[in-house]
Amino acid sequence: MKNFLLTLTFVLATALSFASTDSKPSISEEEAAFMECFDFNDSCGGSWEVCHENVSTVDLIAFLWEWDGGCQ
Amino acid sequence: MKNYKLLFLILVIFSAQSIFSQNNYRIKYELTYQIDSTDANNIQYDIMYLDISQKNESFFRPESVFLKDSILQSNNPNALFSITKPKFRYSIVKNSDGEKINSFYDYTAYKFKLSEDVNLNWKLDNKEKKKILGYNARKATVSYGGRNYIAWYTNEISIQDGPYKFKGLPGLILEIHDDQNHYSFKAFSIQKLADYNSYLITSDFKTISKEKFADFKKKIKQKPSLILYNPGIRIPKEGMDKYDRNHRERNKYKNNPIELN
Repeated sequence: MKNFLLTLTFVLATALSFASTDSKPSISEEEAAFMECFDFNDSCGGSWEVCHENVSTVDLIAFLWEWDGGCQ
Repeated sequence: MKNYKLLFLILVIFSAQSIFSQNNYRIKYELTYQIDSTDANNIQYDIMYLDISQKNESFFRPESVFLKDSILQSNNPNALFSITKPKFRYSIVKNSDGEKINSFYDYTAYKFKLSEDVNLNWKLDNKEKKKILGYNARKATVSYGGRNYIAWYTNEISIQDGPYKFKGLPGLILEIHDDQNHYSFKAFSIQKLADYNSYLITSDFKTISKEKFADFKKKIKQKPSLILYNPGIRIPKEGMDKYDRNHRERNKYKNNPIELN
């Protein structure tokens, strides 16, 4: 859990400050150009690319905590 | 002499009420419940807080909901990842001045406030008594939400409140359970709080009727990921599908809500 938190903190800190132009099947290139993306490590070993725009840090954290990669 | 005794008794009661009404209190309850009505072995536990503020308001919610609300308003919202998700999403707010009870439900993307009049027709049983946490407790019974409850309250603590939507007894409810023992709340700690912040931003919650709320719950049972709706966040579709699959599977066994009607 400690490693997971450290990874998440690092990922959020870096992801929120650097925009990525990587595109994924679920996000069009046009959308991705305006979105900031980062890798989110869930609590059951999964890693997901999450992109966001115009979302507060609190709303993003509340979303990721609830979703948690769909882990039980 | 008889008058002096009566005066003394009134003074004792009054001073006890003053002491309890001048402070903030947190009563912690252990909730034990049977999530699946057909499986008596599937018992779950949760810690619940009943916080009573000096402003004659009380807040009843799972410990994890209180922690979530307080962490998200702190300087370190990342700490949210260190707590487990709550099994119940409600915060129940009671005001000692009226019978109206407000329940605040936080479904991430949707926040609803449900107001209702809860009339509890308590029957006091002055014969049966027992000690709970060192207090003399008396028995009372009531029917609510399709269940018959047995409560134990103490008039040595003049807080007329209790867990969940239960209130209105001449003292604090220390234990309450339904006659099938599917839901049981037991107080295990009473703390005085120096100051109190509920961390509940009630203005974020939209008022909803009981009927519309029931419709909403049906919808999220079919598609749990609806509560994650946020047009500003994109995740791979498989991530949402996995959330739906796992929550639908878990919901199969959730057939025993505290309120049956």
